[in-house]
Parts: sequence; C-alpha cells; structure tokens
Amino acid sequence: MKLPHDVSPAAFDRAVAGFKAAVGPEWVFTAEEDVALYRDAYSPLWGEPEERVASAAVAPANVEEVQAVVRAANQARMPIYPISTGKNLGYGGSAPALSGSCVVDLKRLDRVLDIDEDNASVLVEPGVSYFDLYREIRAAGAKLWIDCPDPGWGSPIGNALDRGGGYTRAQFRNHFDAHCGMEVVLPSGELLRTGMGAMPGAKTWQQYKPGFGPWIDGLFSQSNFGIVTKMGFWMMPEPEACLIGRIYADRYEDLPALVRILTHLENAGIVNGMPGLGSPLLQRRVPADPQGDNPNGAAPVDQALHDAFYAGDSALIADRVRQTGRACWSALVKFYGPEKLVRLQWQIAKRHFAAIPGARAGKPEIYGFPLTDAQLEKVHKPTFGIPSLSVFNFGIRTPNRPEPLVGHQAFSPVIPRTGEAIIEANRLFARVLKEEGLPVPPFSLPGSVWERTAMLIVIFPVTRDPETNRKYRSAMRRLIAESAKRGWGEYRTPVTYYDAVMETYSFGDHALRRFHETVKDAIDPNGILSPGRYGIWPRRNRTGGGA
Amino acid sequence: MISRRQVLVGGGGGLAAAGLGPAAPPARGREMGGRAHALALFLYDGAIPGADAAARVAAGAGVPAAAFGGDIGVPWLELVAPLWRAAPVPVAGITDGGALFCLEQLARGHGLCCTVRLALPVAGAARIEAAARALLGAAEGAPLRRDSAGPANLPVAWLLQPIARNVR
Repeated sequence: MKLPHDVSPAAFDRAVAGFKAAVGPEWVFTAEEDVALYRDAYSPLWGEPEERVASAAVAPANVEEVQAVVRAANQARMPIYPISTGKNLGYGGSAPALSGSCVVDLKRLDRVLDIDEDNASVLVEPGVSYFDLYREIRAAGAKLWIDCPDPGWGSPIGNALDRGGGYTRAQFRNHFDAHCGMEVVLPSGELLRTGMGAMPGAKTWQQYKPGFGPWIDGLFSQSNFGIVTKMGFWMMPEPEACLIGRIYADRYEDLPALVRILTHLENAGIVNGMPGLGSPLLQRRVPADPQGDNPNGAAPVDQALHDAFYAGDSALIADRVRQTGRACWSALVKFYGPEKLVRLQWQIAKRHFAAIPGARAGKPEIYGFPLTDAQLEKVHKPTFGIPSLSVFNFGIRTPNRPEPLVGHQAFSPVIPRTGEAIIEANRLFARVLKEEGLPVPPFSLPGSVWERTAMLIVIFPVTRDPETNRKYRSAMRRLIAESAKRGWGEYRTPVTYYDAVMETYSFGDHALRRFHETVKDAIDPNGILSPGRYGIWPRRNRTGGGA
Repeated sequence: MISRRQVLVGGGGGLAAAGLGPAAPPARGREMGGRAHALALFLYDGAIPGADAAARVAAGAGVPAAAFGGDIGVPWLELVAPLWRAAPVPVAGITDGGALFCLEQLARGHGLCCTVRLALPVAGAARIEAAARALLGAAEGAPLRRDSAGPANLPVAWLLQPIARNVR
C-alpha cells in the first residue's frame, strides 16, 4: 500500500478508524481487491512507480456521513479524494491526483431528489449516473431530455464539475453552465449551499442561479475546494422535432468562410443544436466488416491527401474533389424546435451558406419523438437526450490501427473557431509529433462543443508498454507547451498533466495559481481535500512532496 | 488527428430477451431441481454468428438469456443495472470486447470483476456453445480460465463475478 510521503502508517490507521466510526466498518475498504477497483484503467503511467493509486476507500451514504469523513480526515491529516461515479476515463478515472489518498466514493448518494417538469429542472446527488437520471425521468413520464456525454455512464455532477460537454443545445451541452445551485461539504466539514439555496426554505434553488452576492459556484468546478453533494440542473424540454442538415463546400480555401458563417448562425440563435465540421474527402469509408478487422468501415489513410491538407495544396485537393465527387468540407447544423420552425431555420441557414461559391445543401434528416426502434439503431443517441455506451466500441483493430488500444488520453486544447486556426493547429500538432518520432496523425476537424471556440482533440493511445507510454507523455507535454505559446490552453486534462497545464495559465506571474493556493490554504489548512487536483496543491505539498 | 467522437464510434441497437421482458429484469436463474444456478443473466450480442446457441445452453441451465444489438447501454439500463442494484450477482455473456470493457467498468462500482475472458477468434455455434458451457461451469465454481483477451472487435466470452465486498 502506498501512502503520501507525509502520512505515517499510524496516521493512516487513525484515519481509517475515524472513517469506520463515520460510516460503519463495512463501508471502509483497505483490502487490495477492494482498493484496486479505483485504479485508472487508462492511466498513462500504468504499472510505473508514479502511477496514481489509492490507499483505501470509504463510501458514505449521506451528507452527514460525508461531513463526518471530512472531519476524520482533518483529525488525521489524511488526504481524501472524492469521486462521483469515477468514470471520466481518459481524464483520470477514479484514481487520486496524489498517490496514497483515500478515495471517498459517493456512489451511495444516488438519489434523484426532484424532477420539475414544469420548470425543466432536476436536483440530483453525485452517485446518480446519466443512465439513472434518464430512467427516473422516463419513469416519471416527464417530457425532459438529459444532455449526456459519450458514454452515458458518468455522473451529471461529476461531469459538470469536470466541465464536460454533451451534444444538444448550447445551454445544456455545457454541463457546468447548465447547473443551477449546489450543496457543498467544505474541507472543514461545514455544509454550504450556493445560489438561492443559501436561503433557508428557498423556493427557487433550481430556478435562479446567482442568489445574492458573489457567485461562487465556479470555485467548486475543476478544483479541490469542496465535495459537492447536491446539484441542480436545467433540462431540455423535449422538442417537437429535430432537423439535421449538411452543407458542402468543395474548395480548400472555403474553410474560413464556412466556419465564420457556422459560428454566426450559432451565435445568432439560428442554429441551436451542436454544429459540426468535417471533410467528406478525408473521411471516406469502405464496406464494413462487422466481425472482422474493420467493423466500422474505416478506409486506410490516404497519406498523400492528408499531406495536401497539411500543406494547403489546393490544386491536388481540387483534383481529388473532381475525381471522387466528395466535398472538401462539410458543416453540420442541427435545429431543435417545432417542425415548422426548424424547417424555416434550415432555409435561413442555407441562405447564409450560399455566400460561399458552389456551396450546396444535402437532404436534411427530420425526426419527431419518440424515435422509432429503427431510428434508435442508427442515430447518435446523445444527440436526442438518450444515454448510450456504443461509443466504447472503440480502440478496435482497424486498417489504420493494427494493434487495438488499451486506452486513450486526450490532448484537448481550446482554439479560436476560425478556419485559419484549425489549419495552424493541425500543422503544429503534426510537426510536434513528427519531431517526437511519433506517427503524424490524419488532418482533422475540431469539435464545437463550446460556443464561440473550437477544440481540436488529439487522441493518444495508452498501452501496457511503459516505453511507449513514456513517448506519448513526452509528446503530450510538448503539445501543451507549444500550444500555450500560441495562446491555446487545455480545457481539461488527464491527472498526469494537471501541473503542466496549470503551468501554462501563467498570466501575471501565475496570479491565477497563486489565487487558487490562497483560497486553498484558507479553507483547507490541513490540505486534506484532493491535493493536486487540477494543479492546486495545498501548502503541505507545495515544496515538492506531492507532485 | 481525429476527434474523440471519431475514435469512439459505435452503433445503436435494441434488446430481445429470451424469457424475460425489458421492464422485468430477472432476479436469479430459475429453480432447477430445487436449486438456482449461480448465474443471474446471460447476455449475448445477436450479431455474433451462432450466438443464439449460448441462449439455448443458458436456457437449459435455467439461466435467463437476453440478446442485444450494438449498444450495450440498452441491456445495461434495462437488465444489468437493476440486477446489480439489488445484489452483485454473476453475469456472463458473449459480446465484442468493447461491450465487455463497458460492463467491466460498470461492474467495479458493484464489487464485481471479470474472472473469465475467452477470446473467440472463430465464432460459430459449436464454439459459442462450448464457451457458454464453460462460463456456466465457471460461475458454479469450476476452475477459472484466466485472461486471453483478443481485439475489441472480436467476440469474447466472459464472466463477471463479485470478488470484492465494496458493493453499491
């Protein structure tokens, strides 16, 4: 068993005794087979001495027990690391940021406390998963959609606090923005409610976000300032219809205009679903072989074509467009609302895209609800508020990946939503990976989860070979640093890179990090709560002990 | 460079249960000669050639079987989660590796782990039937076969059993 460097076995034993007194001995776990459940299956440090592992776990059943666990941790100065469902694979899983911490597993706080169909909101505990919430809403007969990520096994609270995203309308797919009110156990063990919840007997906790005075909710996201035990969320009322349309543009030079129009349509509220960008020319498919080596029909990478995209060789690309009949770029637009309205919005959107010479629209898909079984088999379920696990048919062997993945880690920088930045980022990432002796990835288009920005995700494999993992860790660190030189920052990162990313948010001689540390020291003087999470270390760990 | 979404692709799918309905998850294997089989549910991907042979083997042992297609989230929501909310009971299946990976991660929260994992590079009724019998035997305490995982897109026969006391 691994303990933090400044926690003695005697202190650990005191903490465990305190936890047992708080929650009952049957909910405190120190046996290897119990603690191993919290190992991060996607750890880029898998099997190495630096892999982040827990020493124990405790599973409180209610808020009072969470408070008692926090007080016991303070008495023993034992670091604890709360998790909700612990499923943010690729960004840390359920393993702590500081090895030897005791995981506080909130899985038993699993109640959906309120579903308000009229005001389209819910109040949940952290152990509730998207699947749980979906089931409860369905059981209640409420015409509400959840907005969930791929996959839907995580917790709305956990995902929102990690600032994850989904797939529906902007105000719902930004999961932290969609929250309204929270209840937090502070590192002292004291209980705090934010927003209107600060008023005893509040009638609008899940309806009015700020309450009175400074709006502090953001302090509890991507941080270690408290354990959130309740959180309200605004839900999306089930729309009458959803229209999904595609615009195609043939010239390489069209990307900036395509992105600019797409962004304007979203900012103006004409497109109200998640927009997307693609390249039909690059994303060619071959017949799928469901039981063989190519179940998704991925075509082998056409390296010459990708090289042309990197180099901006518009003549070669134009030739390929002519030869194949496939467009160079595509924009995906989605509309939710009454059918008449979404059809009208689609017409308006097409008018805007007509400013691009030669741009053309594909035949739109229109859905009413509930979806039919046949539709459910084909659609991307989270786009329609339905949790799914099909996304984890990943890591499979394909023509482009002869060895299947064990796991992945994501480099996820937020970049300007412009065609120029998309091309520049692709070129930078390719250059860095080439210099690191790694395969140059295919040219790709960014996600548009967040309004006004783009996120060009690079997926790196996690293997069981330490040397391979070391190479990719090195590449990740270089990408983080090189991106920061251009003003592009990570929105979220695996635990291994918390400090490297926080290092790049350095304006004013790291004024932001110093502010975090000032808050941390004030509210968590013993430094017990999630040391190191998102690069925030308590005083006791800031002299080289923790990181 | 490809997006997380582009990497993580899959399909939709429904659920067809043999002897049970989506709204009525099984409690345990039905009584056979006065004794319930240790296995509570046998899941199989209907797209795997010959996989329905597993259903016949399971039914013969009194174990409820359910087919699904594509998205393991459907049987998770309708069958497995309700089962494990009540108790961490053993569940077996024949699926692709991606579906097993999901269930393994979800099983952790209930104190279960994958104890048997048999790669099935060549599917077909005879191989599937043999694998299903091995799983049923292992669930009842027959010697365990340790991991022999294949690629995520190839069929795998697996058994999830409670191994920890850290349950939900």
